Amino acid sequence: MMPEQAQLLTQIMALEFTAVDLNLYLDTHPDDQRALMDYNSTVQELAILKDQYQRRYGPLTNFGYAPSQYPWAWVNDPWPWEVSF
Amino acid sequence: MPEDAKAQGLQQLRLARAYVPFQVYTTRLDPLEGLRRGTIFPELYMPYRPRDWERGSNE
Repeated sequence: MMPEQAQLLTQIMALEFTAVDLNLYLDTHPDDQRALMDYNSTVQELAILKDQYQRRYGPLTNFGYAPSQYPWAWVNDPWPWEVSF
Repeated sequence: MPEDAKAQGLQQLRLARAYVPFQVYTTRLDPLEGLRRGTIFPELYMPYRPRDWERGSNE
């Protein structure tokens, strides 16, 4: 995998991790406004990075989240376990 | 207390008492650091480090 692709993917993973950790915190602290603002900004940034990634390197998920270039890329992209970065 | 527990010097260990102080959101690690440590909350970062129990060191 090209270094810049791996770097972008790692950033996406890091933001997803932050989002899920904030989600867990918000489950028990639903009225914590600052945590909620942080969650929302994380999700916005995540959407931007995912869109960037998918335009350049193909879909991150097999259906429902991003249009695919031609030809259909999903089945020929490297599988997660084939990627080392 | 059963003999073997005494024998293993377990008698000084207190029984478990569960308490969960309410977490307050203050700061968080940046995403890459959080991913590396396994939490974005500095107060929850508690890696298990091997400790020699014989000395009975308990923080």
